This record gives sequence, structure tokens and C-alpha cells, in this order.
Amino acid sequence: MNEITDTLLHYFTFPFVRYALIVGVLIALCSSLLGVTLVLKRFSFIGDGLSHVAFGGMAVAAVFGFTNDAVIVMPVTVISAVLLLKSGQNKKINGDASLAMISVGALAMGYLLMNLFSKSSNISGDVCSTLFGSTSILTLTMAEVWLCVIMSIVVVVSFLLFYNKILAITFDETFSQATGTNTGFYNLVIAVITAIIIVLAMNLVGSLLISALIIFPALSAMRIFKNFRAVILCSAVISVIAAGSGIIISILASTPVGSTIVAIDILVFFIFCTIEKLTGGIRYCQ
Amino acid sequence: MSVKVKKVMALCIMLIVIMSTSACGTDTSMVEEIADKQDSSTVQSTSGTESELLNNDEKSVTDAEEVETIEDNNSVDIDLTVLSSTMVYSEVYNMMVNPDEYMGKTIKVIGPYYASQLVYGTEKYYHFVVISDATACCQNGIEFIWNDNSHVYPDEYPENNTVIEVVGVFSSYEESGDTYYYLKTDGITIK
Repeated sequence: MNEITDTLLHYFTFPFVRYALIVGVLIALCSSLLGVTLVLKRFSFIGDGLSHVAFGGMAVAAVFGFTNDAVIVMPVTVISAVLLLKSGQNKKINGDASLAMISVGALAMGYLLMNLFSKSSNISGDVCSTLFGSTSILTLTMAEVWLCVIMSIVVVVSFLLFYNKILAITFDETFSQATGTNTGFYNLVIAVITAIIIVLAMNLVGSLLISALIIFPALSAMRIFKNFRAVILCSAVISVIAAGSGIIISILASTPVGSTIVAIDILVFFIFCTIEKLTGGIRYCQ
Repeated sequence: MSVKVKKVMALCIMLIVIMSTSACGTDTSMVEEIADKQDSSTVQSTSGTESELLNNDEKSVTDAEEVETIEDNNSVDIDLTVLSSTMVYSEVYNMMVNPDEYMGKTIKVIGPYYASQLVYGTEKYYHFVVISDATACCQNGIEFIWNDNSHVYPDEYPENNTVIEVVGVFSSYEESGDTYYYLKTDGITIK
């Protein structure tokens, strides 16, 4: 055990490990906050769709030779998020169809562009790294760490500021609209925050595994707690612990970072299902 | 706080402790494996073939004239052989992204050997130690130059994919207007 502790302490002397842990925990916290809302609004799969759009944006950034791909990826993903949430009311193409359309379309176009125009000598490696995260979280630059810290603060502050309104439109959007709440604006806030989280989370788990980061902590918390605030708090704790322990396990045991975090999330989900069976969950009102 | 909440919290804490303990247990074999590698006697590079080198029972220096160098662990600034593969890949990536921070440092690395004739039609071969990440989809190659390329390829080099250990000083050179980074080494060790 001492040997493990020594190894871990030695690893923490490397700056990139400390950066990975800070960024990983922040991303996990942000994704879990919004995860509950997205799951309850039945937008669980929006993370997957937007991450594919972000992948397409990344491919375009690579083709044009941008060193900081966030310049393209962030606006493209935000616009797509807004379009997706707006298209939910479109009668010609319904919500899930437009999500699937944008998702696979962006993925295919991204891969096509990377193959046709990329100057990289290792296209399959680049694609694999983007899709599964690989070791992206352990190869962050200082600028990326700061970007993530600032964006995380924006997400948490926005969530706390609009907590009551988000709660209201999550459970009954029509009623909120009838009582004078500008639901369009708050849906836009949710869309923008979702897009930011997706772009940030691509470094942690890759674009194919982002949905897991959003839905598993929320679903796990919902197994036991039946109160919105309790579910969010529990979801945040689960997500942060899973991300932190996932990063540590992956550097110790040489496993892929993203998959390890998601595996822990899945494990926690089954544990919480078992606890729910044993205790019946906790139902109480505020 | 209700009794049910307390029960759930206690269960969660217990599960987290169990999970973290079992996760740490996974690593023990890896650490032991690395330690074994560290303890094992090294075969110094010679002009013989790989099989000849491995057949050496004593796994020690065979011919004083052919021996290039004896590694000295104390002089190594960054020992990549004691890190997990995820850590090694990340550290090597950082070397390539922030080379100035590593310039002049002595680095010890282990991995499969790979020789490449980067410009076809020329006689020049470049020699690398290959570092893969945990998903095996991304690879970095650290170039090394052995005694200022005074050795003859392929006669004096191991075959491709032979696991070798290189201790060298992180340096750079200019070629065709580009800067390349490499390990300047006095010898390679077949593992």
C-alpha cells in the first residue's frame, strides 16, 4: 500500500497530472449539474449529438490549421445546441430526428474532412483520441486549463443564478410559460451551458462517451433521492468522485482515462440501484 | 437527518473505500513488474544479433570493446521506465510540446525499437523508441542518436520491435529548416 501511495505521490509531482485532476473534477461537476435537467427534460442524448458536432468542428479547425480549435468548436457547438432545442418545436422534422440528423451528419463530415485535408501523419490516432479521449486530459496546455476553469465558473454561476427558473421549466415548461417566465431565454441558457460542457468534456472522455458523463450520475442519484436539490447534490458528488478516482486509477493501472471514468459511473449506477432495492429510496419534500 | 439518509451515506462511504482499495490492488502487479525490470541485469548493446545477446546467460557485459556505456541511474533526471504507460505517453507528449523545459536533461526510456528511412532514396535511417498510449491508438516516437550515428545500420542495431532501453540527453538538431528533438545516447540496452 505504501508503494502505491509513493507512486501516486511521485505522479503528482508532474504538473500535467495536477492539471488533469483539476480539469477533470471541474468538468465532472459541471456536467452533473446540467445532467439532471437534461435527463428530466428527456434530452439525455443531446450530449451525444452535440459532441459529434464538436468533432466536426474540430476537424474543420484542424483542416484550417487552427492551433486553438476552441475558436471554431465552441461557436459551432453552441449554434447547433440552440438549433437542436429550437427544432424540438418544428413540426416537419421532430426533435429526435433532427438530433440524429445533425449528429451523424457532423460525425461523417468531420471524418471525411480529416481524411481529405488533414496534414497530420496519424489520422486514425487523431480520430481515436477525439472519439475516446485517450490521454487528452493528461496533455492539456496551461491555456486549456485556464479556459476550462473560467468556463466552469461561468457554468456553475449561471446554474446557481437561474436555479429556480431552471427547476421550473424542467418540471413544467408550459406552466412556467403561462406564469410569465421567458422559457425561450432559459432554454437558450441551458443550450449554451450544455454546449460549453460538451466542448470541455471532450478532453476528458472523448466525444463518444460524453453522454455517460451527463446521464449516469443523474440517473444514479435519482435511484435514491427524489428531491431535485438532493438529486443534483448527490449527482455532483458521484460525478466528481468518479472522475477523480477514474483519472487516478487510469494513471496507476495504465487504462484509458475516459473509459475508466465511465466504468466507475456504471458501477456506481448499479450500486445505487441495489441500494434503492434495499432501502426503497429516499422520498421527502423540501 | 433521517435514519435512512444516514444508512445510505454509510453504505456509500463503505463502497467508496472498497472500490479505492480494490483499484489500488490492481496496480501492485504493475509496480512489481516495473521493479523486476529495474532489478534485472542489463544486456549492453553489442554488434551481435538480438538472439545472441539474449542467449548470454550472465546477461552482463560481454566484450569490453563492444560495450558502449554503462547506465547510471543516479544521473537520470527523468526516468520514464518507472511510470505507467499512460504517464509515459503523457510525459513524452509534453516533451514534444514543451521541449525547452526538457533540454539538456538526461532521460531514461524503454519501448519497442523502430528504424525508419524517413526520406526514401537516401541512405539515412532514423532510430526511435516507440511509446504507445493506453488505448494503443496514439503513438509517440522518441528519436535517439547513438554515438553520433557512428554505428552501422542494420548490423549493429536490434531488429524492429525489439524492446530497448535508452538513456540519453534530450537535445535538438536542425534539418531542412525544421527543429527535431532526440536523445543523444552512448548506448542502448536490449530488454
